[in-house]
Amino acid sequence: MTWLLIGVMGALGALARYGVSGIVQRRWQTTFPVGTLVVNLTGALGAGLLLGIVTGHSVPDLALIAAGVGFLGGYSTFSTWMVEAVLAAESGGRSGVRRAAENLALPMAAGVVAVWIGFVLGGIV
Amino acid sequence: MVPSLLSVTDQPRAQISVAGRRRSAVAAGGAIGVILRAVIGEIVVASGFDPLWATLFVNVTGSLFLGLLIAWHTGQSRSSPLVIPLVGIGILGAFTTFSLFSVEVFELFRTGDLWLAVMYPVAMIGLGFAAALTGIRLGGRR
Repeated sequence: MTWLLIGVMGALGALARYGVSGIVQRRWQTTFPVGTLVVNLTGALGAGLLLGIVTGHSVPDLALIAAGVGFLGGYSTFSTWMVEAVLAAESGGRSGVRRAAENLALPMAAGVVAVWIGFVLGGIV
Repeated sequence: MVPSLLSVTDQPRAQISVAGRRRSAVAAGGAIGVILRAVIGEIVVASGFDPLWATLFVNVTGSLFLGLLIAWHTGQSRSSPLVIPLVGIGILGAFTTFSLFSVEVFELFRTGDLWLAVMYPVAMIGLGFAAALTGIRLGGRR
């Protein structure tokens, strides 16, 4: 039962990622992989929100698993981020340090800040 | 998005749009990827390891396989148009995680484990990038 729930929510999360990253990437019209970045930062915000809520309230395990492991697990992604970062590094152009900062360090720092914001908001709820 | 999933059983195959079949493949892959990661998480924790190892393992191996897949697919003229949605976006996309990883780093900072709060993301991104690069190099070889 739990596995089925994780699977269904994971499918919805992956579909949401596919939809959001596609829409964002088309709207921005840039070679920078902004679609994956927006997905991952909103995913981190959601995970922080969940963490903040769980810290202050008792949440049923099944709800936490459905939202955290299932949906957010299917929604956010690490592999796409890494492959896009490698492709960006290989595409040439600006300095390697600048690209590494843009594609690796900034998304990471922004992810932790997004969790923090979510955590604070989740504590207020 | 959901109606396209239902339509797989409601309509004959020819009437299902390409976009609908792609979405179905992403959804099916997403379910598989998330369950695979949850199983690995259970195994790692049951074996007495810190859960951080599970996240490191899935993210690094997932990046390697996605690199392999993307490079291999670029050189293929006859592969199915559903391979990337199913395996790349669906399975490997959902198998790896950014949200849990970010929460783990945030928790390391919050609990004051500053050494690990810096070293864990450095190791994760360093190994993940190296794995994706290795996959792309190996997959691009003919």
